[in-house]
Amino acid sequence: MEESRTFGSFFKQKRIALGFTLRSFCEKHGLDAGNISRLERGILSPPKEEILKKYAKLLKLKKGSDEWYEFFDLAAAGSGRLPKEFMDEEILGRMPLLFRTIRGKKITKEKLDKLIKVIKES
Amino acid sequence: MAGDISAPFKNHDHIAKAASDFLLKHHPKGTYPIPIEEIVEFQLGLDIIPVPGLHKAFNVDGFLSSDRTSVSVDQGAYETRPGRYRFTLAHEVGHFILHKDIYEQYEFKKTEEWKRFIRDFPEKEYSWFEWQAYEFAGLILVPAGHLDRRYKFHAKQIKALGIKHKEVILDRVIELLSEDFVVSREVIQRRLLREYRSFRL
Repeated sequence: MEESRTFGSFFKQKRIALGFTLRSFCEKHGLDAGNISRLERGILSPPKEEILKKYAKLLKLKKGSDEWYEFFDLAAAGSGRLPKEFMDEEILGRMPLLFRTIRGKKITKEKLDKLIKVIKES
Repeated sequence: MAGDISAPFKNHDHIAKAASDFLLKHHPKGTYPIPIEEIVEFQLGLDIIPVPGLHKAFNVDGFLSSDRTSVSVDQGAYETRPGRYRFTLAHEVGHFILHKDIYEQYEFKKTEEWKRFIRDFPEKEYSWFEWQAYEFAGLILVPAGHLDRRYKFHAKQIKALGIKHKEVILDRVIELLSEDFVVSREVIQRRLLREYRSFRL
């Protein structure tokens, strides 16, 4: 079954359709790649209308087109939600499997806890 | 258990074949520099996630997620060090391609399981995994055919300027090659050593 479309996945699909990587898109338009990445992954809620209009323009969505309406409908559906806060267990898929143990030293538990925190925030 | 892990045997020839197959499939045009970022995002479908302070805090430039859906990269390298960033992506693609089996073998339900896995991972085996990914990255970013042609081209050009000192020529050739392929000088040196055993001019 097809996964239901979200604002973030729609944004990402349109960006890629324009031939932009995340970095090139953000570099060209002076956007923060970390924020756009979080937006695309559904960790950040869609922004307010003024910024949405700017994004729609950058994604070359024609005003009044089906895609334009879909973009704003998906944003409305996703807005107002609090930024997602993950439980530690929910981000295990994002953690590394191969992670450096420096020169044979066992990496400390504290350092691994710190890595979990950093990944949760990114 | 992580302590039981052993790296699969993959020698240079095996990795070279995997790299060549990868380039044929994902970059049949064969131009350089290899568009590794586009391949990662558009063709492999991986998210590239910039992570602030990853290098400073953990001394790593990036890593492939255990579910093989994203590559987290140090934000500093992502924004300002293209050579380092590109190599990180290529290195993680190396794990994605060469070490699929081990990634599929482990799925963690509890953070404690994951922490134990990382802490118990045998250092010697880890080194082999890293070596294989490093070789793969060098081979896809600096393909042998292009390297050979560009190496000879630059050496000829520099000699034509009347420069005779071999070390000076080599230093300049390495610099120009690192610009051609958008990788560090170290990557070029390692690739030259691998292809030619010694540098001859």
